[in-house]
Amino acid sequence: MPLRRVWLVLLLCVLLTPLFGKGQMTTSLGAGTSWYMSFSQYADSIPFRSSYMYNSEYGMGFHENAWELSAIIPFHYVSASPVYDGLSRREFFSLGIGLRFQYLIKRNFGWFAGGTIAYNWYKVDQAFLSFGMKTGPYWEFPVTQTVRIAVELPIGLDFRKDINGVTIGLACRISYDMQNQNTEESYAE
Amino acid sequence: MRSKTFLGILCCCLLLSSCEFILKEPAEGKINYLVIGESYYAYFYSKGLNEYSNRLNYTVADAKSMKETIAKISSKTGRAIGEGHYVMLEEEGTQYSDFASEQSSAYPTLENVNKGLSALANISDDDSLTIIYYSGHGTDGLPNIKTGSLCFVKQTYAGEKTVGNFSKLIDFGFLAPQELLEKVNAIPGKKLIILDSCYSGAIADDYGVTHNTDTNIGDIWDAYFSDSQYGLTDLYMLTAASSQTTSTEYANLEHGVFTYYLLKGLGWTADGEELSTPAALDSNGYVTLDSLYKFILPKASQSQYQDLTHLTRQHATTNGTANNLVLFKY
Repeated sequence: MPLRRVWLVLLLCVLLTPLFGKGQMTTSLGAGTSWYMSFSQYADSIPFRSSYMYNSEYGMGFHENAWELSAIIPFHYVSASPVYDGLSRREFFSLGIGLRFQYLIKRNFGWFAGGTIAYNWYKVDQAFLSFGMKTGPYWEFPVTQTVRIAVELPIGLDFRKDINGVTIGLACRISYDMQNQNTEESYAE
Repeated sequence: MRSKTFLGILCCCLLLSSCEFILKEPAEGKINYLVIGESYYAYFYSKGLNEYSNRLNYTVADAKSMKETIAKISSKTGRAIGEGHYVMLEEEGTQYSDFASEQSSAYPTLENVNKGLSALANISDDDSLTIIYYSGHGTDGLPNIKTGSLCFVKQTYAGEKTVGNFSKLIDFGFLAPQELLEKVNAIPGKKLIILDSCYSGAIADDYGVTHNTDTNIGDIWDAYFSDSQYGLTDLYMLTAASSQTTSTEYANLEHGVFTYYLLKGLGWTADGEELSTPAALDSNGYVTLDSLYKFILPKASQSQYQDLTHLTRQHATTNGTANNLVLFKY
């Protein structure tokens, strides 16, 4: 029990880090869809089972020059898989918190990576924990001085107790950059 | 560049060729089952005090109807019943001709139930579906007995005596949820445990992958890091109650409330009659674990079936395996 609390406090500290950054504050909203391949940790008659995943994500953090760090709140829906050999994967919902880092390598091209911890629930009143990682390239296009739109190709891993999920998808993200006070003051100096 | 493209296409083809859209579905395996109706625990010693729990009147009727329905629905949907199946029923007297006698290996003692589970483990293979159904008492608050344990008569009647209005007090043996999980886990293939007993949801708490959504986040964290391996096999369960609620009978239904709606979900109308279209049939034409659960939950938790002693409503429970089990295809 005490170990669990230590982990949770550490996790919370890490997640809150972006909110105290000194760069330009930014907030973002993303949505996408992915192919969710679930590999069971016990013998199954098929290597993996397929579902589709709809995901959305809200992020808040800061960015400076080419890099950006955000605390994120992802929400997913993963569909049931087709029936094969008398089984299908259950559909579930997921709500989590996480951290996302992205770096713009070229003018419009960059790479992002992130990690999450999520509370998931099936429609049959059962809930479970999962840990996730996501990475991939993105192409970013400024719309105005403060608004950016990006197209991403995320590849993700979802670690559940009985299942490991691999996702490949397509997503888009819109970001809004706010001029925070610290930045304005530093510019004035 | 060409070789990379070729490698990419090859990987995609391999990936697609190993998924359920391409692979041919294997034939359905046989159904083996163990159906247990236990009614002797009218004389169940409650909480170690001079109290005796209410007699269960319909556990044998539950088991009888369940046995018949499994056979009928299997035949209707073309699913074969395995060579060995075990039915254990218990009743004071011999009202039903198919009751096992006290000397029979099908008499529902803990010892015989264990033998039945071992026999199922021997006859089942990786394609089989094994259904274990129990209707009887479930424990709570007994010293040194885990919540949700199943109660069975003992082979010997060492404790037989007259108490109060009851003619007999029989020694009984308990099967704790974890012990049941261990024994069922040893059976090859897919396994479904159905329990119509009080506090039976305790078995889902021991499952070790998920936790009820009513719980706090800490329990879900513990489930993720627990050593429990039951959730990593083809093991499914459907129970009449949660680990905190009781399971009730209702005279008008002449069955346990949970079992009555379970039977309705499978298409049962009355013993000896043809099955109707299952009420729990989903949009794909399947009767699944989830479709049964979704059908039973709101019906069995209606206020008219409320446990008047504990003032709780029955809450059916299923375990949170990642899979939904298809039982019958119409």
